[in-house]
Amino acid sequence: MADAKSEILQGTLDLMVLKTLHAIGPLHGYGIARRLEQISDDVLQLNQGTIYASLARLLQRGWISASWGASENNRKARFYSITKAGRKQLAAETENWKRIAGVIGRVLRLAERS
Amino acid sequence: MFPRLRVLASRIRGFFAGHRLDEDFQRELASHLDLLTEENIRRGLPPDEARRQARLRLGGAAQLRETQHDLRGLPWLETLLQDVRFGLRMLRKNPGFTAVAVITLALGIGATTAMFTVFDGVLLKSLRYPDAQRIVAINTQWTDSGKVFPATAGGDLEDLRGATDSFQAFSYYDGGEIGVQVSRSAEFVGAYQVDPQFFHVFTISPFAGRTFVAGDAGRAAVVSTGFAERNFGSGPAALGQTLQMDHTAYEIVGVMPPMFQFPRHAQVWAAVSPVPQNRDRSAYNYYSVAKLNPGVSLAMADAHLLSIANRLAAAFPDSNRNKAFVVQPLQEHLVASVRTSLFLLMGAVGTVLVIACANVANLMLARATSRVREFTMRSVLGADRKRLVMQLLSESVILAPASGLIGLGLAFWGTKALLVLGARFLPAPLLADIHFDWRVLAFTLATSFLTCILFGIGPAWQAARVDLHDAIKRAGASGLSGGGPSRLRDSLVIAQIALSLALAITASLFFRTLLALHGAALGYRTEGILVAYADAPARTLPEALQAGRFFDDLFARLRQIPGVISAAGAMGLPAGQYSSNGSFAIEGKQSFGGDFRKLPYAGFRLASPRYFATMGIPLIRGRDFDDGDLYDRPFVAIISESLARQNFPNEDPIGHRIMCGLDWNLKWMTVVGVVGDVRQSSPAAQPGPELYMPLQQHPFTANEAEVVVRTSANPESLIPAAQKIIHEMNPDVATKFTTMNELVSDSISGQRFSTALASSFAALALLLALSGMYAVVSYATTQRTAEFGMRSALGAQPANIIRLVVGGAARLAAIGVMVGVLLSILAGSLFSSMLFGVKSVDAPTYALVISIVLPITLLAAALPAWRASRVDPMVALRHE
Repeated sequence: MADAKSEILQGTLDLMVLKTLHAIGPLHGYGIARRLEQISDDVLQLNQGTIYASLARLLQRGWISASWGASENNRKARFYSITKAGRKQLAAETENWKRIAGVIGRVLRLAERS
Repeated sequence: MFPRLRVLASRIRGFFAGHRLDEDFQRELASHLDLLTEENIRRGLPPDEARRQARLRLGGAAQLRETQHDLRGLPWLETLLQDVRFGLRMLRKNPGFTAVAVITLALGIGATTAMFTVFDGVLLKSLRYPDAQRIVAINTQWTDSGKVFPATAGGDLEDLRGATDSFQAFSYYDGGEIGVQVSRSAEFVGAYQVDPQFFHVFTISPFAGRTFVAGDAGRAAVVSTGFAERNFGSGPAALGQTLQMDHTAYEIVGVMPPMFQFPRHAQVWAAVSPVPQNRDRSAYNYYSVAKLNPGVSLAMADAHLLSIANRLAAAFPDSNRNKAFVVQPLQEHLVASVRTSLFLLMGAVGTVLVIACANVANLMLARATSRVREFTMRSVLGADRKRLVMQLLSESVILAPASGLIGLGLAFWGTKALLVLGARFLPAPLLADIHFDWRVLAFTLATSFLTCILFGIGPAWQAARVDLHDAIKRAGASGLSGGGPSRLRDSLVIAQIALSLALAITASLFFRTLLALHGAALGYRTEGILVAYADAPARTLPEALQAGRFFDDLFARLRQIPGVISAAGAMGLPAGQYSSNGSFAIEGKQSFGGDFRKLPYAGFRLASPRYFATMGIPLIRGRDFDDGDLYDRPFVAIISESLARQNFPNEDPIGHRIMCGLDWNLKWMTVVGVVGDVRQSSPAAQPGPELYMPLQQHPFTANEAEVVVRTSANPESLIPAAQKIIHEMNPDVATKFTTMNELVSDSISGQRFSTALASSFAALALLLALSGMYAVVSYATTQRTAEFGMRSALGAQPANIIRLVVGGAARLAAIGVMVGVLLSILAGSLFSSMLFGVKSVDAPTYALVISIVLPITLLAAALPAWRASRVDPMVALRHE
């Protein structure tokens, strides 16, 4: 049960990271984490390190790529960007997510009415 | 599937680049931390607090690195490599242990591999002929008794050939070692008369020339590469040359590649008419082989042959009632005689391997027990049991490559030795298949790893069962004693003693068999007798009679060689290669004809005058054949004691007349003498009824003879003189020399092979069991050093301590012996048919083996016991 739950969370985090890179362009780990927190109005309080497990998984699947560059304040940092395969995956996952969300939404509305 | 493959590829890359990636990640985390700290400073936190907060936000660095590492690489492989590295370090640290373990395993693996090479080549590999699984031998079976006879009667051959629904090709053959003449020289070789269809059964392309076509019968021959090279220089040079067998000239039309050696030792195949010479339906003079049509199963072929057999039974009830024909895959046909022995020996060598495993398991166990502190420490630090078992297991598995390699080397020599030992015993057509190849290599590899896992798993499981609570409490003690590990060790020693005792008893029974065979009263002498196979070609009656006179002259001239006591000839020497038997009738009691199976049965032998005297076969009544028993004189016969006893129970057989179908000259023969019984085919055979007839009166069968020369000197020293005489008298006569001793020894080569192997396996097993006993007792006494010290401090004498230790060992040995005896009884029931002159449960043998094994085992315990008794109490008490 614990495994299943974390798998869902992992999947969700992967999708969010992918979307962030898609929307904003190349970012380093700190930037991604920060961005996710901002978007969620700081509701999503990450242990920022967990982002790296997600990045490693996405890298292995070839959905993102990484290269070393200079950060805003001229420090060396690792920048991640989404790949073509990643975009395709994102589209598919988004579609999937919307469908599930739609179904759950409809079910919940049904429950309200009764 | 694709992304998964990609992940694997990336993990493999990550595994090899592990170190660099770890450093990269370290830097990445550092930069992340810096950015977070700066953000916190911007928010107004003091630098120290900002850094602390940043660390909290990021999470535990070590844990992150670990997760990252596991995600990126192949964690299980890494663990394994770590274990292997650690294991290798442990082995280097204990060179003594390593050497003993590797050598023990190598001996077991080597012996097993060598035996497997032979087993595989003979029993498992299919014949190397094209479509070998469709090649069958055809046997005759008596449906009333179930007896199977590997030959076919000449009359039945043509009906079998007609079974074209089943057979794509059918051929009969007969022959053996006979004289073959090439230009002006003659040699004794395996030569067979075959149906022109013969090579259609085997479909093997000749090395040069061609195989037979329909018109070749009586005209063409095919020879082996060896024959061609020996006589003509090369394979192609033999084509078009002529060879002679039995005064018939054959032109050599083809040369077969060396791999084709069917039938046994065949070097010449001469095409003869598809219609056999002897077309009687009750004379089983021929062998048949066939190739099944594609898609025809053995059962289908049998059913088809049964319908033919039924038809023949109705048409020829005298000869064919209750007779059926059954097919047998050629391979099975070839290995039938050696199958049981090979299975038994494979089992024996497997037992040796198990004993070797038990030995190393014991060593591992002893070592693991003294490492309890290490395992406790590992457990405390969070290693789970699975992890500990894996670690110990990899420590044993790394022994596999070294022991496998050394074992392979031993097996290489072992196989050579086996082939020398088994040359006379293993089926010749299959010898070429016995060699090292990838199958043997795969077997060795699998055996090495399997054995290492087998002996490793028990000790590993046992050792990894660390009771933390208990272990920490006893943290000061140097190791465990008592309890689980020692029980496992004891059982291993018991198993070793039991198994090696069973092997030793089996080997002793074989040895007793061999002794019994050597000591068996054969009924003839074997010392000082030279045997010359001589083949004087003859085809017509005058030629055959001429050959008979030639032999008489030859015997006379041989008698003149200095040192020769007597010389004579026979056809059907005991333990020799010729054998003939059949039914006979006694005048006034039976008539020759009708249902042959109602007539008495005997072996048919031909003998010259003075043959019985030369061979030392006693003449019990009547007279020997003499020079007057010629072809144009009244026919006579001499019978063996058994035949006289069975057929003339209360009367004098001398003067009675007998008829048999040895050749087609059916005449009543007057019994003129009775001679002693002999064990005919080998010392293992029971003495039976034999019918001897004069060589001169059966010229067609007698142009090939076994000449026996008795001398007081070494019989082999006569060979040059005898050879010279024969060559001077007639250069066309092919000869081959041997001695009576050698013939007898060859006839029991199977028993010798099994005995030699079983004995070496038993010796190896005993050696291993002894070292196992020694290791266990000396380990256990070392563990009890403190106890012994205490005992001697309290006044125990050295003798008391020795008694204590040896007593413990004796208990194990006693249990081992009991289990071993039970195992031996069980095993004995499997091979009782292979024994001669001794029962499988033979009390004296059992007692003898136990009385040797038991003291030796206790001796192995005595040395450590003696050491323990010499312990200085002060040293011992400080030992803890």
